[in-house]
This record gives sequence, structure tokens and C-alpha cells, in this order.
Amino acid sequence: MSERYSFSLTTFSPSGKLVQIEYALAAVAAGAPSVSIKASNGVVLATEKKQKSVLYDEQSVHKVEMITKNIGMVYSGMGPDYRLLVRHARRIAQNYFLTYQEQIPTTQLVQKVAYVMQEYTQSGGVRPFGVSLLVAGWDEDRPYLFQCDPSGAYFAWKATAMGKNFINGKTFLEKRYNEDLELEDAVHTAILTLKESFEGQMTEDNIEIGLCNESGFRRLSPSEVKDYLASIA
Amino acid sequence: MAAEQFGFSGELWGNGPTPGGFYSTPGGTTTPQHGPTKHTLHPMTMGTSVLGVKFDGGVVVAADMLGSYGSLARYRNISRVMKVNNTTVLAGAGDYADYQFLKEVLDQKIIDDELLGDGHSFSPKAIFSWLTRVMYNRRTRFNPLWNQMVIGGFHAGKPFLGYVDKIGVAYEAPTIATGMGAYMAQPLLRDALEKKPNMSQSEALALLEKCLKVLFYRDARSFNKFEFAIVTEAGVEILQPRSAEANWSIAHLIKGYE
Repeated sequence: MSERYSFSLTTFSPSGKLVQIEYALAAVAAGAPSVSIKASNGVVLATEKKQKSVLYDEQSVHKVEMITKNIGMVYSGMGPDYRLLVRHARRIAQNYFLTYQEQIPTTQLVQKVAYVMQEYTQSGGVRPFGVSLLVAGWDEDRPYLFQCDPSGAYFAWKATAMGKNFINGKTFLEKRYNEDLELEDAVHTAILTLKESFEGQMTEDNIEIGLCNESGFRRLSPSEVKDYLASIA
Repeated sequence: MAAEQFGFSGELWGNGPTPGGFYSTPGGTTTPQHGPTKHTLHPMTMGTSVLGVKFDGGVVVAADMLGSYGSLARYRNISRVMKVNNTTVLAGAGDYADYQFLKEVLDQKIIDDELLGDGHSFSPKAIFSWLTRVMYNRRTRFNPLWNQMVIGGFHAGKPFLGYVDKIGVAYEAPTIATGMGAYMAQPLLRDALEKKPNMSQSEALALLEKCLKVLFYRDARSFNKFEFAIVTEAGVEILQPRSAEANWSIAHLIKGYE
């Protein structure tokens, strides 16, 4: 963090808006689409991972990341900002475990990560993070899904979409979501939601899916993603 | 600095002993030459043994209500047990001021956790782990909380009983006794537990009362007024202070007793 500026770069406009945060949200809205659905027995995270060239080694970089054994997250927006927040979140989780010898509850992790994001809107010389996070977790026998914004605000969702075309994505989810959805159906619905804004052919290399249920969080392997895609087509 | 206010320049007091330094006492000078004492290593008002035992469906922790000032039984109505939250209690032996300090910190911590409004509450094990880290870190900085703490709780259908002390030693056990209790009460507790591994709440209370009575007879820093804190599925209950029926009639037979 730069110590050269003692004043915040995020300042109010005359209309009462924090313009930097608005711009950060615009950066998120321009990012690759990501979708998440909370089912009755788990949470699914899905995101588009299109690379600009066939020369990219798709499997060496991941967007869906594990934070603890039972919490994972994905993003829309700027990749490098995301990497920092993943590291922060993991450190926060381990610190919690060191102090309490217990896995950090999802709600506590989200609050602490959101606090970090808020700090960057009110500290000297830094800009807000250009990502919105989708955090999926499982503790005390139930699923959790949260979104963290560049402003530091966090929301609990049943299902949501972020990034390019998120409005259409949310409309699609509103129609398809119901409380009794099971995880398998939720994965299908998530993939279909991504497909709505997908240009070209969806393959196991240009999307990523993460699942969170009672056995914990895991990112699906490409072959598992391929199976799901096959059942959609 | 006061000298400058009154228009004096230079020293206010020269060629003599430093202010307050008239006498040299063993164990340290009375002059504040090294600045204020920052790392206190001398406990003052102290509490004696704390006892704890698990029973079928919960745990009970007991401590007497005396704050000793050396050999003076100075404060005879102090509570050394506290409710942490609905699943945990903590009792403190050792320096009472350090226990009070920790109580404040822990109370505030619980409030701060409530304020997050996410329905999360600390389990007994989490409090125990937090306390261990605090005590050990203080010890490492040569500024210990001069206590032996007993944490009792009930969470996820299981009773919890743990011990943390001023040097950061921490362990869980089905019976715990600190101070004199470790020598006199622990054998009684362990024997009773071996004979009846799943004793009832009333049996556990009776056992602790017996141990407290023995300690009152033999621990010179104890007092016959104590509190029980019981944690079960239903929550925390700190009973009203009570006393044991002590029988001193055979005392005159003990050599040395007047």
C-alpha cells in the first residue's frame, strides 16, 4: 500500500456518489460472466474463462479458487485484483484457524474480506478492487452464497449473475430458480445461464465450475465439466 | 517542566539524592529511574484453586469466593467464575486483577461477535484456543496474565473442559484442578470418575462440594463460600453462592492446632 498519499483517491462527487466505486463496478460489468446458484444441498459457481488466443495454456490458470476446505470463490472483473483477494481470504481463514482451532464460518470470512475491500475505498493512495466476488461455502449443515462488491458491500444470494450480460443472466435465473433445486439441477441451470451470453462453442476448457456441498468445496476437473456439457447438448 | 512554568531555569534540586530516592530498599529502588514498571511479574490479590469435572450431559466448574492479599483473607465475596456465552463458562485462579482484565476483554469480544449479526457464536473449544494463544503470547513478551484458567462448556452434544495457565500450558481433561486442588482434589476427582465414568449432575456437584470442603480444611488460602457454574444443553447456570458443612470437632486432636 502506498504511503506517499495520505488522502483517499475515492472521493465524493457533488451528487453524493463515490465515482471510483461506480467505475470499479463498470470494470466488473465489463468482465467475463460468472454465475452462482445456491441449491438445497449445495452451491455451484460457474464462470466463463475465454482466452484471447489458442496459444494460452488454459489449465495453468484458474478462476474458481478454494479458500478453505469448505469455502470457494469466483469473480468477475480484473484478474490480478482477484488474486490478491484470494491470498487475503486464505490468510484470513488460516489466522482464524490458528486462533480458534476451528474452520472459519462463511459469514465471518465474507465480512472480513468485505472489510478489506472497503478499506481500499477509504485509505490513502489506493484504488478500489476491480472485482466482484462470489463466495460459496458450507458450514453447520447448510449452504451459503455471498457476493462482495468493490464498495465493500456484501449480499447473500439464492442465485445471481455478474459480469457481461448480468441483467439477462439474472432474468434467466429468476425464471429458473426454485427453493427445492438440487445441486445437480443447479449445475445444469448455471451452465445454461452462462450459455445465454456465450459466443461460440462452450467446451470444458473455456468454462470453470466449482461445487460446494457437505463434503466441502472442489473445482470440477475438465472431464467432469465435459460430462455436464454433454448432458446439456 | 514545572520549573520552567515558574520561571526557574536549570535544576530544581541539585547535589542531593534523586527525588524519592532517600532509601535504598532490597528488591528494587523506589525511584522511577527506569520509567514506569511495564511488565508486572508480581501477583497481588489472588484466587486459589479452581475445580472442574465433566458429567453425563454437561460440565460443572467451581471456585471459592476469596481474594487473598498474601496471607490476608481480604476480599471474601468476589466471583471468580464468569459466563462467556450460552455454551461456555470460565473460572480464574491466580491474580484477580488479571482475571478481571481478561473478563472485560472477553465480554467485549462476545459483544463484538454478536454485533456482526450473522448468528455465529464461539464454541467452548474456540474460546479455549483463543485464550491459549493470548496467554502464550503474553508469556512470550514477558508480560503474563498471572492466572490458571479453567474453561468449561457444552457444544454439539459434548461437554468440554480445558485448562490454560500463565505460561501458555493448555490441555483438556475430564477433571481439572488448579493450585492446591491439583494435589488434594484431583485424586478425589479422578477416583470418583473412575468408579462412575458417567456421573449425574447432582453427583458431580456433590463431588465438587466434597473437594471444596477438603480444600477448606487444608488450603490456607481458601474460604468456605463458593460458586458453581454448570453448563448443559440447556445453557449456563451459575448457582447462588453456598458453603459446605465443615466439621472441626476433631481439630483439637491434630498436633499443632490450637
